[in-house]
Amino acid sequence: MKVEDLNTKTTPHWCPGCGDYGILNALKSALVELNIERKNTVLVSGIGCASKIPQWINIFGFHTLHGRFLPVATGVKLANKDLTVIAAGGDGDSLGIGLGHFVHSCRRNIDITTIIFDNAIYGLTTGQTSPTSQKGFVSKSTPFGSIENPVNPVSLAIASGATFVARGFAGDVKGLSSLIVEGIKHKGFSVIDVLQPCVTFNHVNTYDFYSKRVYKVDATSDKIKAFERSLEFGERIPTGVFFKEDRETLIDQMPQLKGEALSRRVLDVDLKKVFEKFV
Amino acid sequence: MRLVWRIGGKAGEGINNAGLIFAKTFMRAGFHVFMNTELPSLIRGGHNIATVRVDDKKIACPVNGVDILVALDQTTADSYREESKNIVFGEGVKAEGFFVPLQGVVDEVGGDSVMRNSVALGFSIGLAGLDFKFLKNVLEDDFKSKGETVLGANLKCAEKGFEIASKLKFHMVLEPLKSEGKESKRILISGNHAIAFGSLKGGCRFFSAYPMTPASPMMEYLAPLERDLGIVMKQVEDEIAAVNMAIGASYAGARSMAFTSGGGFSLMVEGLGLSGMTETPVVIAEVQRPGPSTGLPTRTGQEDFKFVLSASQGEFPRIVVAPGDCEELFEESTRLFNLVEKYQVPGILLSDKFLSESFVDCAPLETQIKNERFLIDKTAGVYKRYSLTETGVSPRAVPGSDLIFRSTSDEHDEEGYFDEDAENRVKMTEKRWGKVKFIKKDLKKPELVDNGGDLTLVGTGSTKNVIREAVEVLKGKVKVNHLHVLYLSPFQEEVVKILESAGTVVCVENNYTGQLASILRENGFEVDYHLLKFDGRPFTVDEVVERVLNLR
Ligand SMILES: Cc1ncc(C[n+]2csc(CCOP(=O)(O)OP(=O)(O)O)c2C)c(N)n1
Ligand code: SF4
Repeated sequence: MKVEDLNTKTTPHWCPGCGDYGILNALKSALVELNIERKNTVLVSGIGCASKIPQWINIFGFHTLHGRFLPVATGVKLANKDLTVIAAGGDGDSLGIGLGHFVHSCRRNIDITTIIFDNAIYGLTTGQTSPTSQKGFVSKSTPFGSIENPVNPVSLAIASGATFVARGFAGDVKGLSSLIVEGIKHKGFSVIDVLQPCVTFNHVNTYDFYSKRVYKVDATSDKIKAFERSLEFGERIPTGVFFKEDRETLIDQMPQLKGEALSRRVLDVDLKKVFEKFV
Repeated sequence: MRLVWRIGGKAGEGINNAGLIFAKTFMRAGFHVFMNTELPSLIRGGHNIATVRVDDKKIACPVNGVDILVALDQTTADSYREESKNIVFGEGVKAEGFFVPLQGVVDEVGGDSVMRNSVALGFSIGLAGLDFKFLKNVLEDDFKSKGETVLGANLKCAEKGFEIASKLKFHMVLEPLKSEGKESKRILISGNHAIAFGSLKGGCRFFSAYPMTPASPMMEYLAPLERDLGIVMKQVEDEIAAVNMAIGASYAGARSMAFTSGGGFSLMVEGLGLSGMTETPVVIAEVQRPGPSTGLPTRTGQEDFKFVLSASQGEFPRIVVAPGDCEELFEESTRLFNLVEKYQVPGILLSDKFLSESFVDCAPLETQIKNERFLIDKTAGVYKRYSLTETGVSPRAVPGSDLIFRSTSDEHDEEGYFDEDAENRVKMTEKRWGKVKFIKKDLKKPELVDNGGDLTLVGTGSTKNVIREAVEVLKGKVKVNHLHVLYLSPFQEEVVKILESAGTVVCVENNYTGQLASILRENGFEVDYHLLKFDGRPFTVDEVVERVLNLR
């Protein structure tokens, strides 16, 4: 498979220079590198600039509701465990309206890779503060600066039980692509927080801002060490794989899903035995 | 022939279970039974009752009056004294009737005080004139898993109770009930069981829910079947996750359902629209309880008809079915799963606390409905997931096939790409709505129970059987017909046609505003009278009869 095979009928209409292009390119090259079967790969997204991505990549796609893509993706995976399921959403999608689902997906350790398009702003609604906006961030809804502490997606994912937690940068397509490859290969819930410049509404967290600050950390399976590293976010911003652990996935613990995928099973069941208990 | 038996006591005293044992005993003896419960929203300390009707004919609704009341506490004795013919009570309760040393027997046997129920059951069976072997048989099955000691003690308690009744001077207070003597092969189930089983029958393999009374018992019924039947019953973080997970499972090709009550349905509304827009089938079971807000969590009502009909922003077709008894819940659940897949629309199955938590005896549930899959994995040319067709239904593929497509909750073109063009919008809206005409052809036709009367009672959902029985009772005095409206959406024109030639029409429903009547009005029919009840309790036969007679 070549990258071009992943193109669709239409081309992205993100703002020129938007970090989302970098993420789309990284995802495409990751899928090519993994040589995935397009027919067995599903991308589920929420609502926002970022979440429009299934329109522009030729695999199965489901552009759902703001914040609800993780439950939808979980349903897809449970119904057909043989599919490779990738989830995508903005920081509002993943950590604002969808925060609860994020934490529960981490603790479930369902074998899905979720990519957070983290631009620290609400793009599609034209520039309000987001759960990952830094304190003091001035936006349309916070003219005097954000007065709430930001969520740290990496720390949150580690604390909540995700078994692969990484941070990438949309300005480093090659590095991001290899994180996505690793995330998809990992059996369990993989979280990839991607620093994504929004060139239209976020004039603080720019390419330049991130380029000066990012540096790479090495993967560890020591949770405390990983958590400690994840807390750094300021003058220097760590990227790479923070934490990786082998743990039984949700489906590993569901014997009823052994064998044929739920979606392919025959519809008819015999209830005779069930009724016997009620005689 | 009829017997109404009621047991009441504090919550946590096993009232529900005692009711089930009593009902099962008579069912096995060849009778028809019906049990409903009233309980407060408390786990312990409140006041619970279970009422069992025993009859020769099939019954599925409550009546006024009690033949034997077992009062385990003073509240029970005081609350139901007037409507009860005979009161059975033990130590510590002041009442007139049959004193039975419930606790004394338990102490003699050396059991736990909850076994007072078994003494009372034995006594009641004796009083009613049924052979003890039927009770023994049920107790053996019921307590088998609890071990020899517990079973033995319960049996002894029941036997003693039975003996006390046998020695009574005016021993038969009721006509002895003649059992058929042969063991029945019938099953004792609740409406929630019927929904769960009907859904399984209809091919549902994926269930997701967040606990909410009165829908949550379905979790408890389905979860133990996971491994035997190869299904998923997933408890999730909230109802938003429940409906969206079900939609995800359906997108991938598994038939799926989310179930809840009105409060949880409120959270599912956005997901309902997602199903509507992306034409991803999903079933939601909404077991109503009285609102607004938390309302009366453990009581009954039919207050959500209009809510489920119009829930969600925007416009899209949906199927809403409101069955009236276990047999209908089973069959319509099966039908709904096939219809939503065939037409790629959301389906809502309505029930309520009364219907879902009452138990009746049924023949092992069966249906003639055949499961059919409506999926494709090959096509000529470019695959268009949302192609415009005559029926509005586009051939649907699922992941895993070569027919790769994208779905979006935004308006889209035939291939699932964003499209805000005005002409496309019109076409797509008409396509989605175009299905309704065809869905209607696949619904069961409404039927008037025509007794040649010029008065017609119309209802939907759980009022079905109480109206039917009231109509029977009224027969001697007035001739009354009955129309049960099974589908609230799509609305069947035949309903209005029937009502137009039905004489005086009385709409019977468990709400304050007359929602069914309002739905009928929207479809061009004005009812003559409303018969409403909104106190959180179900109608009784006597109540309907009396209120119908007072209309005239
Ligand atoms: C229930 C609901 N509330 C609000 C919205 C409006 N809305 C659309 S996108 C969005 C936030 C976008 O921010 P983010 O998720 O960070 O994605 P981005 O656009 O920045 O990529 C909001 C609030 C919606 N679509 N649905
Ligand atoms: S608004 Fe920001 S996030 Fe959205 S497309 Fe434009 S640059 Fe990208």
